Amino acid sequence: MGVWKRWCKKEIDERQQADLNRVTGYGYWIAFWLLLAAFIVEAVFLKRPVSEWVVEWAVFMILAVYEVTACIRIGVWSEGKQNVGWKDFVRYSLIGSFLFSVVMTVGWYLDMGKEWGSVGNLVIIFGTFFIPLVILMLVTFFAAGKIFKWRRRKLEEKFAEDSEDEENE
Amino acid sequence: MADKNKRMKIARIEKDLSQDQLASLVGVTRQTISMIESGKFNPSLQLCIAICRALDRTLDQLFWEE
Repeated sequence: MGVWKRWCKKEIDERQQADLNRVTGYGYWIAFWLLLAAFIVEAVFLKRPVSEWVVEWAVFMILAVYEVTACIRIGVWSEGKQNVGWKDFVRYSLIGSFLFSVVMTVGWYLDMGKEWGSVGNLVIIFGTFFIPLVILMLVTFFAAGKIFKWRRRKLEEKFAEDSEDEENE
Repeated sequence: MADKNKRMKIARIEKDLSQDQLASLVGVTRQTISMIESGKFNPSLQLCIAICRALDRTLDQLFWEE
């Protein structure tokens, strides 16, 4: 056996592999959320220059894009959802926009709020983030949903074709 | 989580095999055999077949519901 094959040879059994996959999955999500928290704290609350948090942001975006494209590729939206529709997209957009807008409003208040922090101004600042973000997220989710449904259809057709090929052999 | 697999344990004992010995025969760890017998792990069909071969039993006899 070549050196590379010897090095890559698996010695764990399927149960250990399943446990390892679970551990790796938890590790991914720990990294994902900690990176998000890290660059939000650095960018919004500590007001660090971009050069100090751009790497965390880039790694976070790589993880996010990987997760989205990999899930679309395998035709799975999430653990809790087999199919998604416009109600889910509206819910995700409202929740995500709300949370992000709260964070940005708090960041703004910490920076400028001592001079301009009336309730009216806070509401305006919140709305300035919230409304465009809801629209942007809705558009993104609808686009992702379309691609996801197309991919699901492709996978179903693929396996239907494979079954027909086996019958004809 | 699956119920305890008593039939597999009985078949293993009748064959005079320890968990370690059965694990070696099918290519897994002793802990995996223990977890299958206690219902804490669901083996793949491939592993089920390997266990059946090692214990001279059919899939129905070892893994079908009682």
